[in-house]
Amino acid sequence: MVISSLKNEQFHTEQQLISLLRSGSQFAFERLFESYSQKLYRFSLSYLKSETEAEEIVQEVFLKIWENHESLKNETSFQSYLFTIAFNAIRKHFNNKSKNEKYRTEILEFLASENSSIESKPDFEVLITKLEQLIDQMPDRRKEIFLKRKKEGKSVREIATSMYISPKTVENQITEAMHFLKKEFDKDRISGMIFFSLFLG
Amino acid sequence: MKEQIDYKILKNFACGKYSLRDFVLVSRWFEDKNNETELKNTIQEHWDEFSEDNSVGTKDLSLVLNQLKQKIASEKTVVNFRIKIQKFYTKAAAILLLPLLLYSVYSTFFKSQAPEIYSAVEIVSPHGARTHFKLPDGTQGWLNSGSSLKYETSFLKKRNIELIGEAWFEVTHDDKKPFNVHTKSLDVLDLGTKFNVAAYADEIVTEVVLQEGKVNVNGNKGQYTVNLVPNEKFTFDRNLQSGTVQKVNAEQFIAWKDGLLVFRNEPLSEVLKRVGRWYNVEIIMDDPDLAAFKYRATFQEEQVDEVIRLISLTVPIEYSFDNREVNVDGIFKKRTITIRRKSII
Repeated sequence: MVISSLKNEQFHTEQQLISLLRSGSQFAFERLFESYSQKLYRFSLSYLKSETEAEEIVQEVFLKIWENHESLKNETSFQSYLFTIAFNAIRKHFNNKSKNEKYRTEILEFLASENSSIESKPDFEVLITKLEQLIDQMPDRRKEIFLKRKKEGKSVREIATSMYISPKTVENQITEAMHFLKKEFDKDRISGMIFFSLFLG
Repeated sequence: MKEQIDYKILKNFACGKYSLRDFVLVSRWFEDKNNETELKNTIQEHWDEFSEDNSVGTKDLSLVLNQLKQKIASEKTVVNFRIKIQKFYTKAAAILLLPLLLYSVYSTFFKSQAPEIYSAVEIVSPHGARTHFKLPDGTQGWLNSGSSLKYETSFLKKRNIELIGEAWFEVTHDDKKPFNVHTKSLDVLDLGTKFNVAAYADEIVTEVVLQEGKVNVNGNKGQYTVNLVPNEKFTFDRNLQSGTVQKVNAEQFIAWKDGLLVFRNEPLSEVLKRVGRWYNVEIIMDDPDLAAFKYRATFQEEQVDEVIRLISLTVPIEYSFDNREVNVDGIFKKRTITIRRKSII
C-alpha cells in the first residue's frame, strides 16, 4: 500500500486514488502524476537518452492512463499498469530512434571491422559524439554528399543529379570522407597503444 | 529467433556504460517482435529496482502536467453534459413528448459543440504586388500581381489548389499525396518540384513552366496529358483548344518572383501588357506596328515611370501619364499611360 502525501493534508491510499481516478477525479490523476512522473521520466531518459523524448513518454503514458480511466481495475497494481503502458511507449520511441540513427551505427561498425577497439570500448556515447563532430568538421559539400548517401540513403545517381555533379565525384567524396573518419579513429587507437607501451617500460 | 536477453547488458546500457557491440545487441532486442515478453520482463526487473537518485534533483514536469490538465478539462465539459442528458433521458422515458424535446435539445446544444468545420482558405495577391505564401504541407511560393489561390482545410489529406492568375510553386515532396494545381483549363499534377503556372482570366493561354522536378499537365476534360521535364513550357490555347511544349529557359519565366521583370525579345504589346499588370496601370497603345516591335530588358525595383522611360530609349515611343481620376464613389481609377509612336518631326 502506497500512501501519497498531499499538500492539503488529506491522506489517500493508492487504492483510494485509483477508485477516485476511475470515477474521473482529476485530483486523483494529479496525485498519481506527482507520485510516478519523476521515476517514469528518469527511467525513460535512461533508455532513450533524450530529455525531450523522455518528457514525451511521460505525456503519452499519463494521457493514456486518463483516456482509459473508466476501465481501471481495482486489483491491478498501479505501478504494473503504468509500467506496461510505459514499456510499449518506450519501445516504440526506441525503435523509431534506432531507425533514424542507424546510419551512425553502420558507419561505426564499418570502421570497427578494421579497428577492434571501436567495437568493445564501453563508451559508445563518446564514439557517437566524436563521429558527429568529425562529420561536422568536413567541408560543406563533402558533408552534404556524405549525409545524403549515408543518412538519407540516396543513391549515388540521385545525389549526382540533384547536386549537378558527376557520380564519380560523389563516389570520390564519400571515399575521402570515410578515409578521413578512419584516420581520425585510428589516431586514438595508436595513441592508446603508445601509452600502453610506454607504461610497460 | 529468440535471443537471450542479458539483464546486465541492458542495465549497463541504461546507465550509459556500453560499447558499440552492446548497443547493436540492445537495438536488436528492442526490434525483435518474438521476444517482446522477455524484453518486457527484463526491463520490468530494472523498473522495479530503479530508484530515483535524489541527488540529481527533480525535473520540472509542470508543463507536461498542464497540457494534460487542459486536455482533461476540454473533454470533461462535453462528457458531463452528455451523461446528464442521457441520465435524464432514461428517467423520462415513460413520457412520450419529453424524450423528443430532450433529444432536440441534446442535438442542438451537444452536437453543435463539435461542428465539422468545412471551409476554404484563400490567398490573394493584390494588383501591383507579389505575395509570398506558405501552405500547410510546407509548400511555399509566390503569387503574382492580381492573382489568387484557394485550398480546402482538408488540404493535408488531398493537396489540391485552385489558381486564378499566376503563381510559382516550390512543392514539398510527398509520394503518397500528389500536389494538384487546378486552373480553369488545365490541372498540373506534381510530386515535389518547382514550377510556374500562369492562368490569367483575361488571357487566352494558360502556361506551365517547369523549373525542377517533374510535373504532369492534364486538360480539365481529360483531353490530354503531358509530362514536362525541367526547362520546358506547356502552353494551352483555349480558343484553338490545343497545346504545345517548348524548350525554354525557365529562369526567364520565374524571375518575377524575385522582383525582376524580364523581357526577352517579346513584342511590345506583350511587354506593355505585363508592365500594366505588374504595376497595376492601364496602358493604352493602338499602333499595330509598334505592337510588333521586339523588346528585351530586365527591370528590378523600378517605378513604372522609369520603366516606360527606359523603354522609350530604345523603342520609338512617346508617352503621357494621365492624371489619376476619381470615381463616383471616391475611389481612384487605375493610372493610365498612353503610348504613341514617336513623331520624327
